[in-house]
Amino acid sequence: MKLFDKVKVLESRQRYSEREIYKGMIGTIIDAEIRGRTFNVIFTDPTPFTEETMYSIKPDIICAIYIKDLEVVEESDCTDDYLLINLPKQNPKWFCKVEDGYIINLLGEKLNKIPYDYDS
Amino acid sequence: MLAEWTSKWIKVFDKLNDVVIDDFDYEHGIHGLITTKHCVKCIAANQCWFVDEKNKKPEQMEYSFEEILKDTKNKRGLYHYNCHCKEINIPTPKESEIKLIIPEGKIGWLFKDKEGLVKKALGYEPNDDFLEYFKKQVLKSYCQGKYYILGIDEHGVAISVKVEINGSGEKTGKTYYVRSGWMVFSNGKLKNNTLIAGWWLNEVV
Amino acid sequence: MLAEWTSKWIKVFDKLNDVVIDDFDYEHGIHGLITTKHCVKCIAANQCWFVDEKNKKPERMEYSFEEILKDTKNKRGLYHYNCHCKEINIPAPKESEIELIIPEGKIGWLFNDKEGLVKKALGYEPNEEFLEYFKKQVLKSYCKGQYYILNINKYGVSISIKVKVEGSGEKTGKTYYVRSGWMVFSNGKLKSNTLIAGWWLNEVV
Repeated sequence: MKLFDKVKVLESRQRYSEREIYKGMIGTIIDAEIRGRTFNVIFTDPTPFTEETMYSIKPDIICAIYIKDLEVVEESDCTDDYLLINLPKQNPKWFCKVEDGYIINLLGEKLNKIPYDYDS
Repeated sequence: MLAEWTSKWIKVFDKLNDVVIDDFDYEHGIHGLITTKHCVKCIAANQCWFVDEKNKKPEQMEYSFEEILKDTKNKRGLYHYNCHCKEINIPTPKESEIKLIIPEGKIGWLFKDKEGLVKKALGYEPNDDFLEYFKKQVLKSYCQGKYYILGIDEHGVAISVKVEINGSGEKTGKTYYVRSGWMVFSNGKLKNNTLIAGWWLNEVV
Repeated sequence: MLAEWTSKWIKVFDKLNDVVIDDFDYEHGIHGLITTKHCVKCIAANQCWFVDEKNKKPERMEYSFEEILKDTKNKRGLYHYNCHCKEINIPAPKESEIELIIPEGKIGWLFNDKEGLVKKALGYEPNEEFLEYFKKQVLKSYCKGQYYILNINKYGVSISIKVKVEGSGEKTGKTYYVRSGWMVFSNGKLKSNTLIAGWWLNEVV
Protein backbone atom coordinates (compact mmCIF):
# COMPACT_ATOMS: atom_id res chain seq x y z
CA MET A 1 0.00 0.00 0.00
CA LYS A 2 1.50 3.31 -1.08
CA LEU A 3 0.99 6.59 -2.91
CA PHE A 4 -1.64 6.50 -5.69
CA ASP A 5 -2.84 2.98 -4.85
CA LYS A 6 -6.61 2.66 -5.11
CA VAL A 7 -7.95 1.65 -1.72
CA LYS A 8 -11.24 0.58 -0.20
CA VAL A 9 -12.47 1.80 3.20
CA LEU A 10 -13.20 -1.20 5.42
CA GLU A 11 -14.74 0.52 8.44
CA SER A 12 -17.15 3.32 9.22
CA ARG A 13 -16.02 5.83 11.82
CA GLN A 14 -17.34 9.16 12.99
CA ARG A 15 -14.22 10.96 11.83
CA TYR A 16 -14.84 9.60 8.32
CA SER A 17 -18.59 10.20 8.24
CA GLU A 18 -17.97 13.81 9.26
CA ARG A 19 -16.40 14.15 5.81
CA GLU A 20 -19.05 11.98 4.18
CA ILE A 21 -16.77 8.98 3.81
CA TYR A 22 -18.29 5.60 4.55
CA LYS A 23 -17.37 1.91 4.59
CA GLY A 24 -16.99 0.47 1.10
CA MET A 25 -16.01 3.69 -0.65
CA ILE A 26 -12.99 3.56 -2.94
CA GLY A 27 -10.43 6.33 -3.12
CA THR A 28 -6.80 6.96 -4.03
CA ILE A 29 -3.89 7.53 -1.64
CA ILE A 30 -2.99 11.12 -2.41
CA ASP A 31 -0.07 11.79 -0.06
CA ALA A 32 3.12 9.78 0.14
CA GLU A 33 3.66 10.10 3.87
CA ILE A 34 1.91 8.25 6.66
CA ARG A 35 0.98 10.40 9.62
CA GLY A 36 -0.47 8.98 12.79
CA ARG A 37 -0.83 5.58 11.08
CA THR A 38 -3.16 7.12 8.51
CA PHE A 39 -2.92 7.74 4.79
CA ASN A 40 -4.55 10.78 3.21
CA VAL A 41 -7.05 9.39 0.71
CA ILE A 42 -8.86 11.34 -2.00
CA PHE A 43 -12.37 10.40 -3.04
CA THR A 44 -13.55 11.74 -6.38
CA ASP A 45 -16.96 11.91 -8.01
CA PRO A 46 -17.08 8.89 -10.38
CA THR A 47 -19.37 10.74 -12.82
CA PRO A 48 -17.66 10.81 -16.26
CA PHE A 49 -16.43 14.29 -17.22
CA THR A 50 -18.44 15.46 -20.23
CA GLU A 51 -19.73 18.75 -21.59
CA GLU A 52 -23.00 18.07 -19.79
CA THR A 53 -21.59 17.04 -16.45
CA MET A 54 -18.48 19.19 -16.19
CA TYR A 55 -20.05 21.96 -14.11
CA SER A 56 -22.01 19.64 -11.83
CA ILE A 57 -19.33 17.17 -10.79
CA LYS A 58 -19.00 17.05 -7.01
CA PRO A 59 -15.82 18.27 -5.34
CA ASP A 60 -13.16 15.83 -4.21
CA ILE A 61 -13.04 14.85 -0.56
CA ILE A 62 -9.77 14.16 1.21
CA CYS A 63 -9.77 12.24 4.45
CA ALA A 64 -7.10 10.70 6.66
CA ILE A 65 -7.95 6.99 6.91
CA TYR A 66 -6.33 4.58 9.35
CA ILE A 67 -4.19 2.01 7.60
CA LYS A 68 -6.01 -0.71 9.51
CA ASP A 69 -9.22 0.45 7.76
CA LEU A 70 -7.80 0.27 4.22
CA GLU A 71 -7.49 -2.47 1.63
CA VAL A 72 -5.66 -2.13 -1.69
CA VAL A 73 -7.93 -2.47 -4.71
CA GLU A 74 -5.43 -1.52 -7.40
CA GLU A 75 -1.71 -0.92 -7.04
CA SER A 76 0.03 2.09 -8.54
CA ASP A 77 3.39 1.90 -10.25
CA CYS A 78 5.11 4.36 -7.88
CA THR A 79 8.77 3.58 -7.38
CA ASP A 80 10.70 4.24 -4.18
CA ASP A 81 12.48 7.12 -5.93
CA TYR A 82 9.14 8.69 -6.76
CA LEU A 83 7.94 8.18 -3.20
CA LEU A 84 11.07 9.88 -1.89
CA ILE A 85 10.57 13.05 -3.93
CA ASN A 86 7.01 13.20 -2.65
CA LEU A 87 7.93 12.84 1.01
CA PRO A 88 8.21 15.95 3.19
CA LYS A 89 11.71 17.38 2.84
CA GLN A 90 12.51 14.21 0.91
CA ASN A 91 13.19 12.54 4.24
CA PRO A 92 13.46 8.75 3.76
CA LYS A 93 12.60 8.22 7.44
CA TRP A 94 8.95 9.05 6.86
CA PHE A 95 6.83 5.94 6.96
CA CYS A 96 5.25 5.66 3.54
CA LYS A 97 4.49 2.05 2.63
CA VAL A 98 2.65 -0.95 3.98
CA GLU A 99 4.15 -4.30 3.04
CA ASP A 100 3.54 -7.78 4.47
CA GLY A 101 1.59 -6.32 7.39
CA TYR A 102 4.24 -3.77 8.34
CA ILE A 103 4.27 0.01 8.04
CA ILE A 104 7.74 0.75 6.70
CA ASN A 105 9.88 3.64 5.53
CA LEU A 106 12.32 3.82 2.65
CA LEU A 107 15.12 2.66 4.95
CA GLY A 108 13.19 -0.55 5.56
CA GLU A 109 12.45 0.31 9.20
CA LYS A 110 9.21 -1.03 10.64
CA LEU A 111 6.74 0.99 12.70
CA ASN A 112 4.36 -1.67 14.04
CA LYS A 113 5.74 -4.51 16.09
CA ILE A 114 3.21 -7.22 15.24
CA PRO A 115 2.47 -7.85 11.54
CA TYR A 116 -1.01 -6.72 10.47
CA ASP A 117 -1.60 -5.13 13.88
CA TYR A 118 -1.09 -1.56 12.77
CA ASP A 119 -1.57 -0.16 16.27
CA SER A 120 1.21 -2.28 17.76
CA MET B 1 -26.51 -9.95 60.95
CA LEU B 2 -28.80 -7.25 59.63
CA ALA B 3 -27.66 -5.01 62.44
CA GLU B 4 -24.06 -5.57 61.39
CA TRP B 5 -24.73 -4.60 57.83
CA THR B 6 -26.69 -1.55 58.82
CA SER B 7 -23.64 -0.38 60.73
CA LYS B 8 -22.24 3.02 60.07
CA TRP B 9 -18.81 1.71 59.16
CA ILE B 10 -17.28 1.88 55.71
CA LYS B 11 -14.12 0.62 54.14
CA VAL B 12 -12.33 2.66 51.48
CA PHE B 13 -11.49 0.49 48.51
CA ASP B 14 -9.56 1.24 45.33
CA LYS B 15 -9.90 -1.74 43.03
CA LEU B 16 -7.07 -0.50 40.84
CA ASN B 17 -4.56 -0.18 43.65
CA ASP B 18 -3.30 -2.98 45.90
CA VAL B 19 -0.91 -0.76 47.78
CA VAL B 20 -1.97 0.16 51.32
CA ILE B 21 -0.44 2.38 53.98
CA ASP B 22 0.99 -0.67 55.79
CA ASP B 23 3.37 -1.26 52.88
CA PHE B 24 5.46 1.84 53.62
CA ASP B 25 8.10 2.27 56.27
CA TYR B 26 7.23 4.46 59.22
CA GLU B 27 10.03 6.93 58.62
CA HIS B 28 9.28 7.94 55.04
CA GLY B 29 5.61 7.09 54.71
CA ILE B 30 4.05 6.99 51.24
CA HIS B 31 6.69 7.66 48.62
CA GLY B 32 8.08 6.40 45.33
CA LEU B 33 6.63 5.69 41.90
CA ILE B 34 3.22 4.71 43.18
CA THR B 35 2.51 8.37 43.97
CA THR B 36 2.64 9.27 40.27
CA LYS B 37 -0.29 6.90 39.68
CA HIS B 38 -2.32 7.39 42.85
CA CYS B 39 -2.69 10.33 45.15
CA VAL B 40 -1.34 10.15 48.70
CA LYS B 41 -4.78 10.51 50.25
CA CYS B 42 -6.12 7.56 48.27
CA ILE B 43 -3.18 5.33 49.19
CA ALA B 44 -3.41 6.42 52.82
CA ALA B 45 -7.10 5.52 52.99
CA ASN B 46 -7.08 2.40 50.80
CA GLN B 47 -8.69 -0.60 52.56
CA CYS B 48 -8.98 1.29 55.83
CA TRP B 49 -12.12 1.24 57.98
CA PHE B 50 -13.92 4.37 59.10
CA VAL B 51 -17.16 5.42 60.69
CA ASP B 52 -19.37 6.89 58.00
CA GLU B 53 -19.57 10.35 59.58
CA LYS B 54 -17.98 13.70 59.02
CA ASN B 55 -14.53 13.97 60.66
CA LYS B 56 -14.41 10.20 61.09
CA LYS B 57 -13.63 9.34 57.49
CA PRO B 58 -11.55 11.08 54.81
CA GLU B 59 -13.54 13.96 53.40
CA GLN B 60 -15.00 13.49 49.96
CA MET B 61 -14.19 16.02 47.31
CA GLU B 62 -16.68 18.87 47.12
CA TYR B 63 -18.34 19.00 43.70
CA SER B 64 -20.64 21.97 44.13
CA PHE B 65 -21.13 24.20 41.06
CA GLU B 66 -18.88 26.80 42.64
CA GLU B 67 -16.17 24.25 43.34
CA ILE B 68 -16.34 22.82 39.83
CA LEU B 69 -16.12 26.26 38.30
CA LYS B 70 -13.26 27.25 40.59
CA ASP B 71 -11.52 23.96 39.95
CA THR B 72 -11.58 24.20 36.20
CA LYS B 73 -10.96 27.94 36.01
CA ASN B 74 -7.21 27.84 35.74
CA LYS B 75 -7.20 24.73 33.59
CA ARG B 76 -9.35 26.09 30.78
CA GLY B 77 -7.04 26.33 27.77
CA LEU B 78 -7.61 27.30 24.16
CA TYR B 79 -8.48 23.87 22.77
CA HIS B 80 -8.80 21.72 25.91
CA TYR B 81 -8.14 21.75 29.64
CA ASN B 82 -4.48 22.48 30.41
CA CYS B 83 -3.86 23.50 26.78
CA HIS B 84 -0.79 25.71 26.37
CA CYS B 85 -1.74 27.09 22.96
CA LYS B 86 -2.33 30.82 22.57
CA GLU B 87 -3.56 32.89 19.67
CA ILE B 88 -1.13 35.69 18.83
CA ASN B 89 -2.05 38.56 16.54
CA ILE B 90 0.07 38.76 13.39
CA PRO B 91 0.06 41.17 10.43
CA THR B 92 -1.95 40.17 7.39
CA PRO B 93 0.38 37.86 5.46
CA LYS B 94 1.82 39.02 2.15
CA GLU B 95 1.79 36.70 -0.83
CA SER B 96 5.57 36.74 -0.79
CA GLU B 97 5.56 35.36 2.75
CA ILE B 98 3.58 32.26 1.89
CA LYS B 99 5.48 29.18 0.86
CA LEU B 100 3.52 26.65 -1.13
CA ILE B 101 4.66 23.05 -0.70
CA ILE B 102 3.43 20.97 -3.61
CA PRO B 103 4.62 17.37 -3.68
CA GLU B 104 5.51 16.27 -7.21
CA GLY B 105 2.69 13.77 -7.36
CA LYS B 106 0.04 16.45 -6.88
CA ILE B 107 0.98 18.14 -10.12
CA GLY B 108 0.77 14.88 -12.02
CA TRP B 109 -2.58 14.23 -10.37
CA LEU B 110 -3.90 17.66 -11.43
CA PHE B 111 -2.80 17.27 -15.01
CA LYS B 112 -4.19 13.74 -15.20
CA ASP B 113 -7.28 13.67 -13.04
CA LYS B 114 -8.40 17.25 -13.67
CA GLU B 115 -7.29 17.51 -17.29
CA GLY B 116 -10.88 17.81 -18.49
CA LEU B 117 -11.70 20.54 -16.02
CA VAL B 118 -8.57 22.54 -16.77
CA LYS B 119 -8.87 22.16 -20.55
CA LYS B 120 -12.56 22.03 -21.31
CA ALA B 121 -14.07 23.98 -18.45
CA LEU B 122 -11.40 26.64 -17.87
CA GLY B 123 -9.84 26.75 -21.32
CA TYR B 124 -6.22 26.24 -20.22
CA GLU B 125 -3.56 23.81 -21.29
CA PRO B 126 -2.58 21.71 -18.27
CA ASN B 127 1.06 22.81 -18.22
CA ASP B 128 3.57 24.73 -16.10
CA ASP B 129 2.23 28.11 -17.28
CA PHE B 130 -1.20 27.25 -15.93
CA LEU B 131 0.35 25.90 -12.72
CA GLU B 132 2.20 29.16 -12.11
CA TYR B 133 -0.94 31.21 -12.76
CA PHE B 134 -2.94 28.91 -10.49
CA LYS B 135 -0.41 29.21 -7.65
CA LYS B 136 -0.57 33.01 -7.82
CA GLN B 137 -4.35 32.88 -7.62
CA VAL B 138 -4.14 30.57 -4.61
CA LEU B 139 -1.78 32.97 -2.83
CA LYS B 140 -4.04 35.92 -3.60
CA SER B 141 -7.15 34.21 -2.25
CA TYR B 142 -5.44 32.82 0.82
CA CYS B 143 -3.99 36.19 1.79
CA GLN B 144 -7.45 37.66 1.41
CA GLY B 145 -8.68 35.03 3.85
CA LYS B 146 -10.92 33.32 1.30
CA TYR B 147 -10.84 29.87 2.82
CA TYR B 148 -12.55 27.78 5.42
CA ILE B 149 -11.44 24.91 7.60
CA LEU B 150 -12.48 21.42 6.50
CA GLY B 151 -11.13 19.50 9.45
CA ILE B 152 -8.15 18.87 11.69
CA ASP B 153 -6.37 15.55 11.87
CA GLU B 154 -2.92 13.95 11.95
CA HIS B 155 -2.12 15.50 8.58
CA GLY B 156 -2.80 19.01 9.83
CA VAL B 157 -5.44 21.69 9.56
CA ALA B 158 -7.13 21.10 6.20
CA ILE B 159 -8.55 24.15 4.45
CA SER B 160 -10.41 24.75 1.23
CA VAL B 161 -9.31 27.91 -0.59
CA LYS B 162 -11.71 29.68 -3.00
CA VAL B 163 -9.59 30.34 -6.10
CA GLU B 164 -10.72 32.74 -8.83
CA ILE B 165 -9.77 31.65 -12.35
CA ASN B 166 -10.26 33.85 -15.38
CA GLY B 167 -11.19 31.62 -18.32
CA SER B 168 -8.75 31.28 -21.18
CA GLY B 169 -9.06 30.37 -24.88
CA GLU B 170 -12.71 29.71 -25.60
CA LYS B 171 -13.54 30.65 -22.03
CA THR B 172 -11.91 34.08 -22.13
CA GLY B 173 -14.05 36.72 -20.42
CA LYS B 174 -15.59 34.26 -18.01
CA THR B 175 -14.69 33.92 -14.35
CA TYR B 176 -14.69 30.62 -12.49
CA TYR B 177 -14.24 29.71 -8.83
CA VAL B 178 -12.61 26.43 -7.96
CA ARG B 179 -11.74 24.87 -4.62
CA SER B 180 -8.16 24.07 -3.77
CA GLY B 181 -7.30 21.87 -0.81
CA TRP B 182 -4.33 22.67 1.42
CA MET B 183 -2.92 21.87 4.81
CA VAL B 184 -1.91 24.88 6.88
CA PHE B 185 1.70 24.32 7.90
CA SER B 186 3.75 26.38 10.31
CA ASN B 187 4.65 30.02 9.80
CA GLY B 188 2.92 30.70 6.51
CA LYS B 189 3.55 27.42 4.73
CA LEU B 190 0.73 25.67 2.89
CA LYS B 191 1.11 22.06 1.88
CA ASN B 192 -1.00 20.99 -1.01
CA ASN B 193 -3.71 18.39 -0.65
CA THR B 194 -5.25 18.69 -4.06
CA LEU B 195 -4.65 21.59 -6.42
CA ILE B 196 -8.15 21.60 -7.83
CA ALA B 197 -10.71 19.67 -5.81
CA GLY B 198 -13.63 20.79 -7.98
CA TRP B 199 -15.93 23.77 -8.28
CA TRP B 200 -16.47 26.18 -5.45
CA LEU B 201 -20.02 25.73 -4.27
CA ASN B 202 -22.01 28.34 -2.44
CA GLU B 203 -19.89 28.61 0.70
CA VAL B 204 -19.45 32.20 1.84
CA VAL B 205 -15.87 33.02 2.80
CA MET C 1 2.35 49.47 10.19
CA LEU C 2 -0.70 50.07 12.37
CA ALA C 3 -2.89 48.65 9.64
CA GLU C 4 -0.78 45.51 9.61
CA TRP C 5 -1.14 44.97 13.32
CA THR C 6 -4.86 45.58 13.26
CA SER C 7 -5.12 42.70 10.82
CA LYS C 8 -7.50 39.86 11.53
CA TRP C 9 -4.81 37.21 11.35
CA ILE C 10 -3.57 35.17 14.27
CA LYS C 11 -0.85 32.63 14.81
CA VAL C 12 -1.35 29.70 17.15
CA PHE C 13 1.60 29.33 19.47
CA ASP C 14 2.42 26.71 22.09
CA LYS C 15 5.49 27.86 23.95
CA LEU C 16 5.98 24.42 25.49
CA ASN C 17 5.97 22.53 22.20
CA ASP C 18 8.45 22.91 19.35
CA VAL C 19 6.84 20.22 17.22
CA VAL C 20 4.90 21.55 14.26
CA ILE C 21 2.82 19.72 11.69
CA ASP C 22 5.58 20.01 9.08
CA ASP C 23 7.62 17.43 10.95
CA PHE C 24 4.93 15.47 12.69
CA ASP C 25 5.43 12.54 12.73
CA TYR C 26 7.82 10.70 10.54
CA GLU C 27 9.29 8.71 13.36
CA HIS C 28 6.88 8.06 16.16
CA GLY C 29 3.41 7.71 14.69
CA ILE C 30 0.28 8.70 16.51
CA HIS C 31 1.23 6.52 19.44
CA GLY C 32 4.58 8.25 19.72
CA LEU C 33 5.75 10.12 22.75
CA ILE C 34 4.78 13.56 21.55
CA THR C 35 1.06 12.78 21.44
CA THR C 36 1.06 11.68 25.06
CA LYS C 37 2.17 15.20 25.93
CA HIS C 38 0.22 17.24 23.37
CA CYS C 39 -3.04 16.62 21.59
CA VAL C 40 -3.13 16.16 17.81
CA LYS C 41 -5.16 19.33 17.32
CA CYS C 42 -2.58 21.41 19.18
CA ILE C 43 0.30 19.95 17.19
CA ALA C 44 -1.63 20.43 13.95
CA ALA C 45 -2.24 24.12 14.72
CA ASN C 46 1.06 25.00 16.39
CA GLN C 47 2.71 28.05 14.75
CA CYS C 48 0.16 28.13 11.95
CA TRP C 49 -1.50 31.30 10.70
CA PHE C 50 -5.25 31.73 10.51
CA VAL C 51 -7.83 34.44 9.96
CA ASP C 52 -9.38 35.29 13.32
CA GLU C 53 -12.91 34.26 12.32
CA LYS C 54 -15.16 31.28 12.90
CA ASN C 55 -14.46 28.42 10.46
CA LYS C 56 -11.15 30.02 9.52
CA LYS C 57 -9.24 29.04 12.63
CA PRO C 58 -9.37 25.94 14.85
CA GLU C 59 -12.38 26.17 17.12
CA ARG C 60 -11.75 26.98 20.75
CA MET C 61 -13.03 24.63 23.37
CA GLU C 62 -16.51 25.50 24.61
CA TYR C 63 -16.46 26.30 28.31
CA SER C 64 -20.12 27.07 28.91
CA PHE C 65 -21.47 26.12 32.29
CA GLU C 66 -23.29 23.13 30.77
CA GLU C 67 -20.13 21.98 29.00
CA ILE C 68 -18.07 22.21 32.15
CA LEU C 69 -20.62 20.24 34.12
CA LYS C 70 -20.91 17.62 31.36
CA ASP C 71 -17.16 17.46 31.03
CA THR C 72 -16.47 16.79 34.66
CA LYS C 73 -19.48 14.56 35.28
CA ASN C 74 -17.82 11.24 34.62
CA LYS C 75 -14.56 12.28 36.17
CA ARG C 76 -15.88 13.17 39.61
CA GLY C 77 -14.38 10.60 41.96
CA LEU C 78 -14.54 10.18 45.72
CA TYR C 79 -11.51 12.27 46.66
CA HIS C 80 -10.55 13.93 43.36
CA TYR C 81 -11.30 13.85 39.64
CA ASN C 82 -10.70 10.38 38.18
CA CYS C 83 -10.42 8.87 41.67
CA HIS C 84 -11.08 5.13 41.76
CA CYS C 85 -11.73 4.91 45.49
CA LYS C 86 -15.15 3.78 46.70
CA GLU C 87 -16.69 3.61 50.13
CA ILE C 88 -17.98 0.09 50.87
CA ASN C 89 -20.29 -0.61 53.79
CA ILE C 90 -18.83 -3.03 56.33
CA PRO C 91 -20.20 -4.47 59.60
CA ALA C 92 -19.25 -2.58 62.76
CA PRO C 93 -15.84 -3.97 63.70
CA LYS C 94 -15.46 -6.20 66.76
CA GLU C 95 -12.64 -5.56 69.21
CA SER C 96 -11.20 -8.97 68.32
CA GLU C 97 -10.88 -7.90 64.68
CA ILE C 98 -8.69 -4.91 65.43
CA GLU C 99 -4.95 -5.41 65.39
CA LEU C 100 -2.97 -2.83 67.34
CA ILE C 101 0.54 -2.21 66.07
CA ILE C 102 2.62 -0.60 68.80
CA PRO C 103 6.29 -0.07 68.00
CA GLU C 104 8.44 -0.84 71.04
CA GLY C 105 9.63 2.74 71.36
CA LYS C 106 6.08 3.97 71.89
CA ILE C 107 5.76 1.93 75.08
CA GLY C 108 9.04 3.26 76.41
CA TRP C 109 7.89 6.74 75.53
CA LEU C 110 4.61 6.26 77.42
CA PHE C 111 6.30 4.93 80.53
CA ASN C 112 8.95 7.59 80.39
CA ASP C 113 7.27 10.75 79.11
CA LYS C 114 3.81 10.14 80.53
CA GLU C 115 4.94 8.54 83.78
CA GLY C 116 3.56 11.40 85.83
CA LEU C 117 0.19 11.33 84.08
CA VAL C 118 -0.15 7.57 84.42
CA LYS C 119 1.03 7.45 88.02
CA LYS C 120 -0.13 10.64 89.64
CA ALA C 121 -3.18 11.55 87.60
CA LEU C 122 -4.62 8.11 86.82
CA GLY C 123 -3.24 6.20 89.79
CA TYR C 124 -1.61 3.37 87.81
CA GLU C 125 1.85 1.92 87.80
CA PRO C 126 3.32 2.39 84.31
CA ASN C 127 3.76 -1.32 83.56
CA GLU C 128 2.59 -4.11 81.27
CA GLU C 129 -0.59 -4.55 83.23
CA PHE C 130 -1.59 -0.94 82.69
CA LEU C 131 -0.62 -1.25 79.02
CA GLU C 132 -2.91 -4.24 78.53
CA TYR C 133 -5.77 -2.42 80.26
CA PHE C 134 -5.16 0.68 78.16
CA LYS C 135 -5.12 -1.29 74.91
CA LYS C 136 -8.49 -2.83 75.78
CA GLN C 137 -9.91 0.62 76.42
CA VAL C 138 -8.54 1.86 73.09
CA LEU C 139 -10.21 -1.04 71.26
CA LYS C 140 -13.48 -0.40 73.05
CA SER C 141 -13.53 3.28 72.17
CA TYR C 142 -12.43 2.78 68.59
CA CYS C 143 -15.09 0.15 67.94
CA LYS C 144 -17.68 2.56 69.28
CA GLY C 145 -16.37 5.13 66.80
CA GLN C 146 -15.14 7.50 69.50
CA TYR C 147 -12.44 9.13 67.42
CA TYR C 148 -11.92 11.89 64.94
CA ILE C 149 -9.51 12.42 62.07
CA LEU C 150 -6.58 14.73 62.77
CA ASN C 151 -5.12 14.78 59.27
CA ILE C 152 -4.16 12.70 56.26
CA ASN C 153 -0.65 12.74 54.90
CA LYS C 154 2.02 10.44 53.54
CA TYR C 155 2.17 8.61 56.88
CA GLY C 156 -1.50 7.68 56.73
CA VAL C 157 -4.82 8.75 58.21
CA SER C 158 -4.10 9.97 61.72
CA ILE C 159 -6.87 9.79 64.31
CA SER C 160 -7.32 10.79 67.91
CA ILE C 161 -9.27 8.27 70.05
CA LYS C 162 -11.15 9.28 73.18
CA VAL C 163 -10.09 6.62 75.72
CA LYS C 164 -11.95 6.19 78.97
CA VAL C 165 -9.67 5.28 81.91
CA GLU C 166 -11.08 4.35 85.31
CA GLY C 167 -8.82 5.75 88.03
CA SER C 168 -6.83 3.33 90.16
CA GLY C 169 -5.23 3.43 93.62
CA GLU C 170 -5.89 6.87 95.06
CA LYS C 171 -7.96 7.72 91.98
CA THR C 172 -10.32 4.77 92.24
CA GLY C 173 -13.91 5.76 91.57
CA LYS C 174 -12.95 8.56 89.23
CA THR C 175 -13.22 8.44 85.44
CA TYR C 176 -10.79 10.14 83.11
CA TYR C 177 -10.69 10.64 79.35
CA VAL C 178 -7.35 10.74 77.55
CA ARG C 179 -6.49 11.11 73.89
CA SER C 180 -4.62 8.36 72.12
CA GLY C 181 -3.07 8.99 68.68
CA TRP C 182 -3.16 6.27 66.01
CA MET C 183 -2.74 5.76 62.31
CA VAL C 184 -5.54 3.86 60.61
CA PHE C 185 -3.94 1.00 58.70
CA SER C 186 -5.62 -1.38 56.29
CA ASN C 187 -8.35 -3.83 57.23
CA GLY C 188 -8.76 -3.01 60.89
CA LYS C 189 -5.16 -2.38 61.88
CA LEU C 190 -4.24 0.63 64.00
CA LYS C 191 -0.64 1.77 64.36
CA SER C 192 0.16 3.74 67.46
CA ASN C 193 1.40 7.31 67.14
CA THR C 194 1.37 8.10 70.81
CA LEU C 195 -0.40 5.96 73.38
CA ILE C 196 -1.42 8.86 75.57
CA ALA C 197 -1.25 12.26 73.95
CA GLY C 198 -2.81 14.08 76.89
CA TRP C 199 -6.26 14.80 78.23
CA TRP C 200 -9.31 14.65 76.04
CA LEU C 201 -10.59 18.16 75.64
CA ASN C 202 -14.14 19.02 74.76
CA GLU C 203 -14.34 17.46 71.32
CA VAL C 204 -17.62 15.64 70.76
CA VAL C 205 -17.18 12.25 69.15
